[in-house]
Amino acid sequence: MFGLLLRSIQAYLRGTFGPALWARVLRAAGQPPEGFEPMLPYDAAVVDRVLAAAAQELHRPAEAMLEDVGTFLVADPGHRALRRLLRFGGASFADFLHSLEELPDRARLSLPGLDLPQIALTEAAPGRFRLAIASPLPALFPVALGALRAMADDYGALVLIDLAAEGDRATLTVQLLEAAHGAGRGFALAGGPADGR
Amino acid sequence: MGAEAGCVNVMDRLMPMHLLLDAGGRVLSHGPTLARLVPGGLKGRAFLDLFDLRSPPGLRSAADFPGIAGQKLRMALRGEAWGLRLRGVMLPVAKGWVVNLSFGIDLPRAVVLLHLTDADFAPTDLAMELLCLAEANEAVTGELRALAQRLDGARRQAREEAETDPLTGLRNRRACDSVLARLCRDGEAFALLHMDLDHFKAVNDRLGHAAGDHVLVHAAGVMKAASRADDCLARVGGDEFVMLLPGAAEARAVRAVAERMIAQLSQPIAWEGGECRVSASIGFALMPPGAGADPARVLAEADRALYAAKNAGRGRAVQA
Repeated sequence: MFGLLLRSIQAYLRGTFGPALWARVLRAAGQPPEGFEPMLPYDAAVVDRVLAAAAQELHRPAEAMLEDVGTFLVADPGHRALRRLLRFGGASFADFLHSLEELPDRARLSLPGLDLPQIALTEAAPGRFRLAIASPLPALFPVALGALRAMADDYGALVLIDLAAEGDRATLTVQLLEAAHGAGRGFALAGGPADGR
Repeated sequence: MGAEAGCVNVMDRLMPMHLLLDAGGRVLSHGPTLARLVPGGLKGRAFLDLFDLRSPPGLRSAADFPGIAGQKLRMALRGEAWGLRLRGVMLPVAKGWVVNLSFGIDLPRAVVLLHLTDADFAPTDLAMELLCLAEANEAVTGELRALAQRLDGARRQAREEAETDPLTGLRNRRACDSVLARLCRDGEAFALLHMDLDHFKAVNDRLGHAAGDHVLVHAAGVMKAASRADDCLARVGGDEFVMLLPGAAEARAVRAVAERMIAQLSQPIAWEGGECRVSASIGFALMPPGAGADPARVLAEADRALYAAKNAGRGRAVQA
């Protein structure tokens, strides 16, 4: 999980601000210049150091940056795979939200040993959802917020999302104002060139 | 909505790839997803004309249906160009037969070829999970392949760096030792040249280390020009070089290589408007094929010959 997060931060910072900034972040965080591998194990302290260095370099709080990382992972055309895998969760945004409870199990089918945080969803009233997430890596919470916002856009849904985090637990409140607000991006099961246009 | 129409809607939603046949085996109605497979429509056509039943075999007419009821059917649509395999099951109903079909393992291909969507499958179908899993596996495998490539690149670079003399770009003593050990082990004919620059210390002392480095790089260039692609050229000490020539069996040819290098290195080398003057002494040893030579002994022989060349007045090549 740490490797995936570090790799995501790397992809976002390199892709958005260029390799020079990323090289400075690595240097400031005391990490080797080749960066991170998604499949290799890392220490939690490495995440903290990279976040601190990136926050200083960008002059913005780490949380805001992590939210952008989440949006980037879903919306960036270079990371088509994740968006597609999430879209398999359902035909509508509400469907997709329900599928998030299955996400850790879906992930384990493809990559045994990958422990995604458990997510519990409650639909308090039609269009009002509460997502409870527990993870020993709190940096994931703002990433989840950014990714959810981007997924709502992807479905063309108009939503309000709030994050309340405390320690290793977080609650995301999602208010679905309009399911078909915008055009959204297309999703073809078969992928191919028409997908995502 | 009549009871029968309601029943068809139920069937369409539960089994979007079903067929309802009359007692004679003709299609009365079918699920919406099958319509994508047969754009011309299936209604009124005979089941056995539409489908090629591969297993169980020997089905001739609707009279044979009772014998296969409930069994797993393997079949394909006749005249369909992609070769999509279907699996199915047939069961009797009031006045005929119901057949339910699925794409089985051909699902991912069918999705691509027929542009199927979520709505083409029953909500209970695991099709979405299977498709998602196939894509997730592809993504994971892609990551692992990329990781393997990056690690392999890093490994090659590390080995290259560990075996290269950074100043001249020639190999270093470690690399030279391992090539020599391999040549001895393989019992191939080869020649070993041990070269030492003459008057190099004087250049270093008088003109400085930068001039000395310049001379070493120049010497490496002379060696490269005199050698073939699979020769091993190494800088093994300050101004000491070793050349290993695999396959070289003729003393005359090896001596010619040595003397050409000595002649070139005896020419003045331009340096910062002035010039450096060195020369080279070479001792060389030839190993015949199958000699099973001992690397240390080969080196010692060439070394003795080099010493003899220095003693005989430098600027020459001596064979061990």
